[in-house]
Amino acid sequence: MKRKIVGVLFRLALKTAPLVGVLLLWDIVCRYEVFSPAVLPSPERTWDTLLRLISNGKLVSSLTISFERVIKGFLIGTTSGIIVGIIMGLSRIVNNLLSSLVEVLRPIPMIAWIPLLILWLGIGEPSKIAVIALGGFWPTLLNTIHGIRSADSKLLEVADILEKNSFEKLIKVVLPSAFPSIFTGFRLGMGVSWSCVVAAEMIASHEGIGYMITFARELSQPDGVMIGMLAIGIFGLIIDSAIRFLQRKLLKWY
Amino acid sequence: MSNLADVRIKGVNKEFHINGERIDVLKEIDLEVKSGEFVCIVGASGCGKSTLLKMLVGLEKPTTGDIFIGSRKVVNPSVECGMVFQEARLCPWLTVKGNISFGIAKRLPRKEKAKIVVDHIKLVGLEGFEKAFSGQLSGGMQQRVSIARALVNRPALLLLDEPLGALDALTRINMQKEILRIWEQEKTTMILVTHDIDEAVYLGDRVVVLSSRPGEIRQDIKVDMARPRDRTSDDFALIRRKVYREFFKDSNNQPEYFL
Ligand SMILES: Nc1ncnc2c1ncn2[C@@H]1O[C@H](COP(=O)(O)OP(=O)(O)OP(=O)(O)O)[C@@H](O)[C@H]1O
Ligand SMILES: [Mg+2]
Repeated sequence: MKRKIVGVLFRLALKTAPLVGVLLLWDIVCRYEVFSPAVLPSPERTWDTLLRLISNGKLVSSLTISFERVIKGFLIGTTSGIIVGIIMGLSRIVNNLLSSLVEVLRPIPMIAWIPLLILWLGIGEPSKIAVIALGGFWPTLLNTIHGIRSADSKLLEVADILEKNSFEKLIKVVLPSAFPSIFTGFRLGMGVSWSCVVAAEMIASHEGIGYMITFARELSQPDGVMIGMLAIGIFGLIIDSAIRFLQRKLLKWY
Repeated sequence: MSNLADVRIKGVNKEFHINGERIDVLKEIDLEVKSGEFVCIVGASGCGKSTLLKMLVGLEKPTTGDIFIGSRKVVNPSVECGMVFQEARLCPWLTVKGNISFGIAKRLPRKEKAKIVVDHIKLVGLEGFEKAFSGQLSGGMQQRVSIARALVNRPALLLLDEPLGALDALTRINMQKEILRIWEQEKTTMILVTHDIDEAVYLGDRVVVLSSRPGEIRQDIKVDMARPRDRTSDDFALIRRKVYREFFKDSNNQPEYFL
């Protein structure tokens, strides 16, 4: 028992050591004024700014707004990704029809979509949701196709022997086999969606975490910019952990 | 249901084409299996044993010749014929219960389904493991689930393709007893493929020896011994020797040792 606690503490120490190290280095660099405070504000000042952003509610409200956008876009993107992915995974014809389109469009960075989407859908919410949806769409699509294709032909033989019809085979064999892969698509898609919202907000928005960063930059407040960036990182980590938790719960056998 | 299970294989030939090249796998197979009989098929690797079973279950079609189960000519898979493979082939996302229930082909009320599942879990001796995923089971237990899944539709005929091939010697002997018990209890016609001659002589009413590729029936040996059979008895040794001799007549099949 005692040894276990020591072990946990040791691992915790290992994990936190680099963070503490960076903080210390940051502090030393600021104390000796290697860079001007306008470029690199001190840890204390950044901490004060963080407290201010929390107490005036800006940070939380920005994150909430961005998160809402991500959820909307992500749901649209992953749902369509799964549907198109299932169809492309099952049908050779549809796959041949669409694969060249996918191959050309997929490598386009999400940021490059934003101008076109703004022209088509306007500067408001729809264009932002659209780029987020697109960000969630590609990883889900590709992983769903892969998952559907990798369904075990030996299990399908068993299903044939048991006189299962095509629909039952899809629901009871093909989709469950594809589940782990689809979940991987979710995780990747959520990551992309989350970076899409930041990009979209930095380009055209007056609220959200991306806007908060741009705004801080316009006021020449590097501390605000850094807090925004860290918040994005930490929030992204939380979302990813949540999806992984869900995955463990839903895919116990995996 | 019983005489529905007479199996007749009539003049079956099977060839495959790999890269445009023809391979004869099975040649002129004629075999009859009476309802309720336990027939073991032995033969060298690659002689077409699995192919024969796949044709019996309807996953493959004979190149020429016909297969009948009862009066039905086999063209498609049917639940009246169950199959157990060398690998258990379970759905990893389903529990023992789920996998066995997956085997049920008929639309039945939930209650009836549950009862069938419980009965079959008992039949293969897996009480207490209902909720385990297949990844949490030993190889022998997985194969029990696979057997239960093949039996839930009460098939008139059960095909077993080296079902115990992946198990260690001890588990194997136990599972052979289990299979016999199930056969006696369910009165299912069974055709079991194996490359273990002991296993064939221990289980079968008849042992059919195939030649190496292209597989032909070389001998159909009756095992006239009461069960349970004693592997160390003289009768057992006699029949085993007979099978060995047939098996190794082939110049390709040099025995590593003789009894
Ligand atoms: N789908 C297929 N396409 C082409 N050739 C095949 C196919 N299935 C089997 N064969 C060939 O048929 C031959 C017999 O295969 P089969 O699996 O029936 O052998 P087996 O007797 O079961 O051997 P083992 O004891 O190793 O399982 C092999 O030479 C194999 O290459
Ligand atoms: Mg085989």
